[in-house]
Amino acid sequence: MRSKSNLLLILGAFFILGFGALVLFLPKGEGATVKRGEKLYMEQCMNCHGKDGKGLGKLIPGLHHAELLQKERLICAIRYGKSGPLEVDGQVYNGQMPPNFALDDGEIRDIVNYVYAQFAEAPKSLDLPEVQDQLRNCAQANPRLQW
Amino acid sequence: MKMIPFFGLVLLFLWSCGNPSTNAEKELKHLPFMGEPMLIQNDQGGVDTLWPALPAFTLASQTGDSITQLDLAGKIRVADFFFTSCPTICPMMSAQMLRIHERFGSNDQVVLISHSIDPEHDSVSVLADYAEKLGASAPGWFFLTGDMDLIFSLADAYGSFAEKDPNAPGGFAHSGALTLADRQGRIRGVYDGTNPEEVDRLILDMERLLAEAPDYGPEAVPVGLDYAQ
Repeated sequence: MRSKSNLLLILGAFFILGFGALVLFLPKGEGATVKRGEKLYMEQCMNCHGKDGKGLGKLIPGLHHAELLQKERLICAIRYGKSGPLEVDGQVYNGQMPPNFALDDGEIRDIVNYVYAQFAEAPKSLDLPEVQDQLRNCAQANPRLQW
Repeated sequence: MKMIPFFGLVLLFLWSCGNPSTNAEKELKHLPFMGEPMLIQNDQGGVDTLWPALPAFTLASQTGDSITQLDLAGKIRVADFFFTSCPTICPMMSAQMLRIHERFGSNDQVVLISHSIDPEHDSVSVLADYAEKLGASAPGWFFLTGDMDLIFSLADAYGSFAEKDPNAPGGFAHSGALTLADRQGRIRGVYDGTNPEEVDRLILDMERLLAEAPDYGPEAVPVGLDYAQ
């Protein structure tokens, strides 16, 4: 009997320690959105912009350019894509970025926060209402959804 | 005492594993030949082993020049199949091809060939613009356009794959393979052009091919030609 209760005690201790570790190390707040954004970036953006965000020659712009990281441009481009000439730091890019209508508002926030954390000179984090405000503005500014 | 036969077995097992691995290492000095060998009866009553090599072709490059298999003869080549308006894996493949170009660009024993699988859109001038913006230059890196059926059958011959598919993003389904062929046009390796680690291996394998004697291995016969004559 005694060994059985010891065993229960040990199992219980493991359970509490394990659960505690899970709570402690689960990503929270800003860390969580960036972490989710990293996964989405690798699935949705990395093919073209590269794992390191450097883009591809003069074909695809890198994501370290401050003017591309303005939230108005970044958020709308992720949802609605981008076509036609785009001048960045004196270089004209003329590729096409496809729209991503399958991403919900929260996923766009996560990608934006990852991009800011990873590539922006002054990292910042946006919350969901800020992103949703901006998304409404893109549709108003460009009803044909060609951004 | 019961354990002694057991340890004996373990030792035997380790010993039997050890020997073939050293043999395998010897064989690994050369890359394998891919494809099916052709066994041909010769005049002396024996059998010659011939190896399929890449077929003949004529396509236009980004400089407007006509390029054939003769322009690649004697060179180690890396081939891929892409299109300039591809919204999915092509930028990754181009980024990896660019790495190879930067590594071997000054070596006239190496040539890269990127075949457009959307030749209707990817004209000579579209390819010239793409190559210039990517940072690629002939004659180290050709971007080729021409007859679509020929390019699709070349993709097949290179162990890659391309076809028109209205349901695929951009209208074409294709593989992200980078194919390595030797100086005689025999395929020696196919690598995932979207995986930088595989491309590291490709670069090492290119070094091995450069170090290999040009006449090493079985005689090559371009597929599509009548080799029995």
